[in-house]
Amino acid sequence: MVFIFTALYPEAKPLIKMFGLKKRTDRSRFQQFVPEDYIKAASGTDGMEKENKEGKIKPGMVLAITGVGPVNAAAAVSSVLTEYNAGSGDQLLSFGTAAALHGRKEGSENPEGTMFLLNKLLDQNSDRCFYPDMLIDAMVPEASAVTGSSVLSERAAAFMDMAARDYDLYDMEAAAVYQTGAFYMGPHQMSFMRVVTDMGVSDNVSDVRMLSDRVTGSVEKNVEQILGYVEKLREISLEDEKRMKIFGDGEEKYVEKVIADAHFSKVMKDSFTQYVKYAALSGINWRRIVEKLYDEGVLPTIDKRNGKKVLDVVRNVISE
Amino acid sequence: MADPLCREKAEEIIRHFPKAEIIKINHYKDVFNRHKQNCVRQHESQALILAVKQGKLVYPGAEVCQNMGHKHFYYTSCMMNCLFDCEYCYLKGMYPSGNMVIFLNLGDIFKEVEDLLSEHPVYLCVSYDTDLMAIEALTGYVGEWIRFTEEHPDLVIEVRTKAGNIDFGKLPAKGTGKSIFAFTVSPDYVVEHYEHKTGSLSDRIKSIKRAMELGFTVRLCFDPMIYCPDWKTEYGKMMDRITSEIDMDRIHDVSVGSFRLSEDYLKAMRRNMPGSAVVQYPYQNDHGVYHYSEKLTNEMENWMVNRLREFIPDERIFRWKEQEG
Repeated sequence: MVFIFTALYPEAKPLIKMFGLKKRTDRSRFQQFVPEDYIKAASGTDGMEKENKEGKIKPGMVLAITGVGPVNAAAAVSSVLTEYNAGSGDQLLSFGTAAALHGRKEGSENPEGTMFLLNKLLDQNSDRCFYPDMLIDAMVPEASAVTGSSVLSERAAAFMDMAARDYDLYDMEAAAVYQTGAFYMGPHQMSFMRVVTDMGVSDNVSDVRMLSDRVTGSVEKNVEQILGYVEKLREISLEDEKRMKIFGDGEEKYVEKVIADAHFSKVMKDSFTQYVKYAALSGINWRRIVEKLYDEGVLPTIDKRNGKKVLDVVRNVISE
Repeated sequence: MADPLCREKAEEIIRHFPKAEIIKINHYKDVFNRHKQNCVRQHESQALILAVKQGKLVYPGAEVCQNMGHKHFYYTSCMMNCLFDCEYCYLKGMYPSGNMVIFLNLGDIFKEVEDLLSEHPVYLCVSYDTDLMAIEALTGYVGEWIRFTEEHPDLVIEVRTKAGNIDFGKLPAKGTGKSIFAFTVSPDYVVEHYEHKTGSLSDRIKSIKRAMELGFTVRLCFDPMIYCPDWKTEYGKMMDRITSEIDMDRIHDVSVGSFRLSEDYLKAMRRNMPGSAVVQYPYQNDHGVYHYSEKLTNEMENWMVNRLREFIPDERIFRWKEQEG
């Protein structure tokens, strides 16, 4: 499953359109957008009963709007990741806009409108640095960012020119998203993308609509690259989920049946699962061994003691 | 990084990667020790961390490691993690990260070894928590260790490796026998299935022969022996090749041991590598160490020792369990 977090709706708007997402009307604290299929399935309007599905299916993608600043970001990320029980097979993308520090360097292109993948995040409040893994070949330039709690004014940008000379961008969520996400995921599961929209905002900005259009416009310019990146995240997420699943659905049920029929204790159950896991990975036909035990009447057993005999047979055939 | 020698070494290594993105970090542990890292994914696109090692630099050998009959047995790590990607490697359970760290202050390690040498002779494993030969072209550390060893009569070093195609041209021209190249050898089946990116058995044999020609001392490590379907045939084929291609009389000694691993490491590896047969094998746990059943351990190790006895006298065959006893 892929989680996308943006601070503002104008940042999310092109992505919502691109992925054809629909708003979850049953969520009020943080706006969430999910694929339409999921909404139908979760509400039972796809013809299947809601009770059977809710809590069991996941949407594949969730886009959530956190609100501006590290506190809002942390609260929203925590809430959403908890709701969907995020874990080892999931990917998180924190997407948004940022200010370029140090203005426009002589001889270099204007960074406004350029998208960066962040490789180093400094939490300005705690002075701690965080490093997401850079494992995806995204063909997007990399940058480091400072996450602060207030909007970067032009005056503050002038100060940051000296104070944060090792950093490229300034944003208000990235380090907070990382720190919160780290409770649920590893650094290989989190990516941070920022599009540069300014170099510090002037104090007298009053036309919010214009600002919003500018943000949306900057994101739209990079929409193809974002799409490509999210596709890669989806592939990785699916691969990871597949990697975690050693047994097929039918095989898993068969393992459970044998465990019940053999009256295994907890320790015996764990051993048996380990034997058949190894057998499945090594191409050993463990089901044939077990079926033979059923044919011979050894299985089902009447108690745990006889279950031990079953375990010994399986172990001898599989592991030696 | 204030030390100019370290800075110079860092720049020399960085020159090998003109397209690499360089990220400045405060301390290598800020990256290496992050929580919930996945070494499998990181191995697919390994990051290289250049750092200066602080604190103790040379350690007494661990009990689970073979001391090969040496009283003053030590090891040092001028690198953490490995370019090679062996599925069963304990580093995958021991380290929180799959990224590689190269320590730039080799001179400080040399100084600490010299302190030990002022007290007694030293037998030092320099390639324990890594495979230094795998990145010799990048660091030149094996060459530096060999030169350092030549200058110190009471020092013997062991360079353990699974590399093939070793470029001995870059190492000091002729060995004096105090630098031991310890080649871990495994059957083709094990190399292909579990020892990713390592030298093939053929290439390791070529390197062994070349090392002996150049006067280096060579040790063969049949450790860890890995169980695989039809292991006797696989290990038999390997032994036939080794004994027919290598002059076994010139092999300094051999070590034999079947796979064993601490409980904590295997637990972490099983979590990170659910699809690895060698990691998911149902090992037996005795006092926190996972290993094959006693029956299988004895069968595999005895078989190997008996084959080796045809070529090598008993006193040059080191079997891990015998030392424990």
